[in-house]
Amino acid sequence: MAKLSLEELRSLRGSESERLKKRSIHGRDTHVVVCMGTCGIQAGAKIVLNSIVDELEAKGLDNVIVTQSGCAGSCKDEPIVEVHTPTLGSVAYGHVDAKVAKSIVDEHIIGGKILESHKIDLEV
Amino acid sequence: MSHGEPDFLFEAVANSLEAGANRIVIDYKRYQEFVDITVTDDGEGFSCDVFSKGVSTKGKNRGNGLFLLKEKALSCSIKRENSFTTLFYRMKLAESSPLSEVLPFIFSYADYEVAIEFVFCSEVLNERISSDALKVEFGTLSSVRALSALKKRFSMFDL
Repeated sequence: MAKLSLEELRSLRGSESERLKKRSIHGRDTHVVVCMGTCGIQAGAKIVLNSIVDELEAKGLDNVIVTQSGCAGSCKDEPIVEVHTPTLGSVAYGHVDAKVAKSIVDEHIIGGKILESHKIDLEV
Repeated sequence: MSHGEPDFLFEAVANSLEAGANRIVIDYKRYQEFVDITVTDDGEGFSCDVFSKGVSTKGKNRGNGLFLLKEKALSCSIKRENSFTTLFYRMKLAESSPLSEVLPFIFSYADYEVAIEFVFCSEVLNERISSDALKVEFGTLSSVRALSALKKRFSMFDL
């Protein structure tokens, strides 16, 4: 199997990101993924996972799916949360705690604005 | 931060899923001073010393979950019998964190074509919960509605 160059990988990620904008997950269009690998759990990802659900419920948001993934391969940035929405595509956040989780819900999911302070690029 | 005993359920169930399990049964027995947890799955099994640091079927820089489990558990074991893999671990009850913070998310894996069953046993409570029944009730288990409702429901298991 021929290896893809970094440029090709980035291009693929870009087109995937476009595709994800249109993705519907179980009939919902917003998908939050919390990385729950060993390093994530050690860094406090379980608290983040629960905080996100609590805040989404408090804000009455029904159109969201919250799932877990394994290690994102970027342990130094844990806890990591990826948000997929139709308008902003896929955005990854690092060093997320309960407070940042709340901001992700309020500013990104509801407000439609990326939290630049915590945005990270995940290696492909 | 450190792993409480229910947190290792994330590790165990993730391993089961990566082994291609279609069915996962979690047996949780709470005693006065410790908890016995058994996770059985029908996945492909394992072929390496899974409790050693850095040993993983998932690639480089992985393979610390079960090593960490072995470090923290009072005892642990893994076996393969009749096409089923069974992971067992015993941990001090004092290191428990609430099951209500873990179980809803464990069950949400059932949205991806795996059946999960949780069997709880203690001096005061015996319960069996299946993902099939929860899916009939809630539909999508990774929805906010389902996760929130299950967090409240599963608080019955919290100390």
